[in-house]
Formats: sequence, C-alpha cells, structure tokens
Amino acid sequence: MPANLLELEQISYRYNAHSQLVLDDVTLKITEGSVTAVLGPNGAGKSTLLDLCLGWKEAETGRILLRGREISSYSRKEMGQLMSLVPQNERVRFDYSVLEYLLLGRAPYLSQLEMPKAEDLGIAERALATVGIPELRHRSASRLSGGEHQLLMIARALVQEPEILILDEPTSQLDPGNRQRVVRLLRELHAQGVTIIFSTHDPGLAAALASHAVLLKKGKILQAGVEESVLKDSCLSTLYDTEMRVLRQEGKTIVYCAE
Amino acid sequence: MHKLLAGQRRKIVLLTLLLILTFILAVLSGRYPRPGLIPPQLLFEDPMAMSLVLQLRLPRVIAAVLLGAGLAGAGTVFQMIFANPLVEPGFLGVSQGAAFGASLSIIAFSSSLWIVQISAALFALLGLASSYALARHFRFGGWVLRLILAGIAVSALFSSGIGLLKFIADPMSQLPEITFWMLGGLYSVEWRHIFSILPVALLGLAVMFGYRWRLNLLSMDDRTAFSLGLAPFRERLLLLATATLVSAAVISVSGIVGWVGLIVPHIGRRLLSSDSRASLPASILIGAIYVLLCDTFARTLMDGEIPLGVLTSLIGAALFIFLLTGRKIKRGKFLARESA
Repeated sequence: MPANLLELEQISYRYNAHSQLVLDDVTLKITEGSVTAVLGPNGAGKSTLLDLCLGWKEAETGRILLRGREISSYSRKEMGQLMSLVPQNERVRFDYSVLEYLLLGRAPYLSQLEMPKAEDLGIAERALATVGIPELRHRSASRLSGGEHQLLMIARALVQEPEILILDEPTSQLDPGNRQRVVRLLRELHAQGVTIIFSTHDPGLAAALASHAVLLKKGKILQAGVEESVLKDSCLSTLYDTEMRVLRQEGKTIVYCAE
Repeated sequence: MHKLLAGQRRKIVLLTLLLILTFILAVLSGRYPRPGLIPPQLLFEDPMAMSLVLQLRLPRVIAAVLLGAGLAGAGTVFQMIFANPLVEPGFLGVSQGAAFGASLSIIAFSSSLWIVQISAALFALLGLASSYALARHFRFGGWVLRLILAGIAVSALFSSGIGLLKFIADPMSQLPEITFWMLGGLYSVEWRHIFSILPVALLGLAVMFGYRWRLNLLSMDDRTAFSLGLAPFRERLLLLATATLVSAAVISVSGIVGWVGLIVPHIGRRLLSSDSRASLPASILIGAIYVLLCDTFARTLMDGEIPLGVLTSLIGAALFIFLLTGRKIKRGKFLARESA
C-alpha cells in the first residue's frame, strides 16, 4: 500500500470574508506515485485546489499535510524542491533562450546570490531531452508554438526535480498531436515514480492518464477514488448536469456527451 | 547558459575598457587652458591644472559614473521586477519624490548635504510606495497600465508640490537650489558629495549585481515565481528598496536626470541578452559611459554649461525614437519581443 504523500483535511477556502466558499470541507488523500485528475465544471474550485496544494493560497480552515507535516512548516526552498507547477499559460516577458528559461527551474537548489552551474545546465539539457525538444535549446523561448511552449513549461517543472508535479489544464490549448505528446510524456514521468496532480475539463484525458480522479462541484467533492470507480456515466452526468457516457473498450476509454 | 557565453563576456570586457577610456578622456577634457584635451605633461608642470583636475574634474567625473551606473542599474531592476520594459525610477514617482523631498528640506529644514539626501531618499521611497498602493486600487486596466498611470499621478502630485515650494521659496537663496534640482547637473559636485553617496551607491550596486540571476525569476508571474521556491513579495521589496535608495542617492547629487534608467537597460538587453546576468552588468557599464559622455559634452560643448538632465533626455528620447522606428532595427524585434 503506497504511503500518503499529500493529505487535505477538511479544507475550506474563500477569497475574502464576504465571498462564498470556493472550497467547502474538502478531504483528499494523494498517494505516492499516483496520477490524480481533478475534474469539474467551470468555477468548481479546481485551480484553487491546486493553489492550496502548492501553498500559494492558504486554507481558511483545515490543514494540508505533505509527508505528514503541515505544508506551512516547509521553507520556500524545500517546497520548490518537492513540488513544481505547470501553469495553464504563461507569458515570457523578456526574450530568453530556451536554456536560460529552463535554468530558472534550478532556483530552489541555489542560494540567493548563487548562479546556475555546469551541473544545473546538464539537468536542464536532460529535461529538454525528456520532453523531446532538445533541438530548440538555443531558440527564443517567447517564439515557440503553443505545443512547444507547453512542453517547455513541463521541462522547466522537471528541472525542479519535484516529487509532485502539478499541472493546470495541461492540454487545454493543444491540438490532438501535441495533446498526445503531453499524454505520452506524463505517462513516462508516472512510470518514473513522479506523483502527478492535474486539473482538466477533458474526462477523456483523465481516463487516459489518471490512476485516481476527483470530481469537484461547487466547491465540494462529489466523488473521489480510483479512476474506474469515479469516471462512470452516473457520476459524470451529475458532475456536468448533462447526459455523459463512458465507453471502455480494449483498454481505451471514450467519454462523450449523449445528449 | 550556465556561464555567460564567451561573446557576452567579451562584450562586458569591451564595455569596461570603453568606460576606462571615456573616464580618462573626460578627466583630461575641458576648457582649461584652452577648450579641448589638457596635455598630460601640463598636469605636472602647472599646479593650477593639477589642482583643477583633482579638485573639480575628478569628483565630477566620478559622480557622472556613479549617476549613470546607479540609474541604469536601478532602471534594469525596475524593468525586471515590474516585468515591463517601459518603466524606470522616474515613471513611478521615485525621481519626483526625491526632488520634492530635497526641495522640502531646502525650504523647511536645512540645505545641509545629509539632511537633503535623507529627505530625498525618504520621499523617493514614499513615491514608490504610493504609486504601488494606488495602482492596487485602480479599477481598470492591466497591472502594468495601472502602475504607470499611478506613477504619473504620484509624480504629478509631487511636481505640483515642488511648484508650491518654489512659489514660497526665498528667490535669492532657496529658489536657485531647487531649480538646479529640477534641471539636473553635476557642476557643483565636490569630493564631499562623492563620499556622502559612495557607500549607498556601491552597496546598492553590489546587491543588484549579486541578485543579477535572480532578477530573471522575479520577472515571472507571482505564482510561477512562488512555485519556483521564491518568496516573490519579500525579494522584490528588497530589490525595489535597493534600486530606489541608489536612485535617490545619486539624484541627491545631480538633481533629476531623466531617460537613463529607461533607455540604457534596453540597449543592454539588445547588445547582450535579456538574461539579467548579462544585461544588468552591461547596463551598469553603458549607463556610466552614457552619463559620462553627456556630462563631458554638457561642460565642454559651449562656453556656458548645458544642464545635464536636458542633454540626457534629448539624446535618450532621440535614441528611443530611433530604436522604435529605425529601419535597421526591426520594430518587432524591439518591442514585440519585450512588451507584447
């Protein structure tokens, strides 16, 4: 039985004292080496859930434990070494080369006044090879295609050598070919033992990748557990308020809207 | 790259040599005994020439180097931290705040060097803090636009404050000092001015230089910087305070000298790289060369002295227009890459 890596205990969150709860009494366990998909309609609290795991937002009530310790007790550097984020999109403001951009991922391993060294460059080069775009190393990071940029952001997250990789809608802006590249890559990372948490609007992606799924609706957990027990007609239909069907054939899962 | 590319390192070395050369020429050029370069052997023959160089030119040339380096370094820090290539200390209420602080001190307290400087530094920080706070409360536009608008508003408030101070200033003793502040120039610099700003300027430049790689991280979105293990708010605050104090220190000697902090970081990035490991030291060197050249022209071109601030703005604005419209430099390369 794999150990619990991340535990959310009765988490509630709201933006400010006057707003409604964005997350309401959420309890969740993420086991080591699992791939967890967070699904839910717009505004269900998916991104907030990821931000809480990352420590970027603080819960109003409840606590979040990472390896049994409250995440607020970890230093910023420790958190940067344990978890990395692939944001949904990101603007590169200045004209960095791909390698310069990737080296930013070494920040959690360097002290304030330290510069990246040859060893850090090696890690960046390996991450670029892992995501399959080593030929872009000297290109400008702000002039990549959408698919290349997504792979680059994943590569930077890998440069952090994290135990937990958090991805915010990793394939929402990709064409089918690039989407498949990202799926293959995340499967490889899973095989290497990286724990992955991602949010998505695409139940098909969840079925293709995830070992576990969490269904969030209006800030509450509707259903959570191993993927097959959660991605079912009934659960998904309730989640999205529309007739959903899940077809499983020859190891493939197809999710479609039946209306 | 893990280290600066060889080409970038060569350019830094070249810029350093260029600064040394400009420094020597600036010390030697002037209007004594006649306009042009003073022959070096004359320095040893003519005690007047020696004393002129040591007591007047040398402190002024050093002040120009500190001013250029400080403003360009601070400009780079501001542009990185606000992730916006169009900001500089002057745009965020820092310069006007410093000028207001200095004027206020001249009128209300004392025109002694230290008090003017401390007052300038305090109001520069206040200018930055109010621009930031105001930008947070504006209700339209993106963050960068709000910040620039807030900076304009705060600068305008300080400017009108300076106008008011000028109105009540003693026209014989206080007004000329305030006017000097607004025009900017280094003609009254003495060694005691240099010693009074040297610690802050050097320490500040050293902090910026130490953080030169981390500045790249601080130019990222808040959430990304946080996920990279930074405490973005705290680190940005440290660097902003450093850049503001360095600006206030050098401005306290020179008065307002515009455009250096805006245009020089652009040149640094274009010549070397957007990676601030290269662009920060390059900007510091280019800023020093730029202000040194402008100041040398300011005091040698005409019989009377041209205000330095007028010259840096004139050349800076011309360079800016050239960079934006010049045929050789494609527009897309300059702004689309950095601010689009």
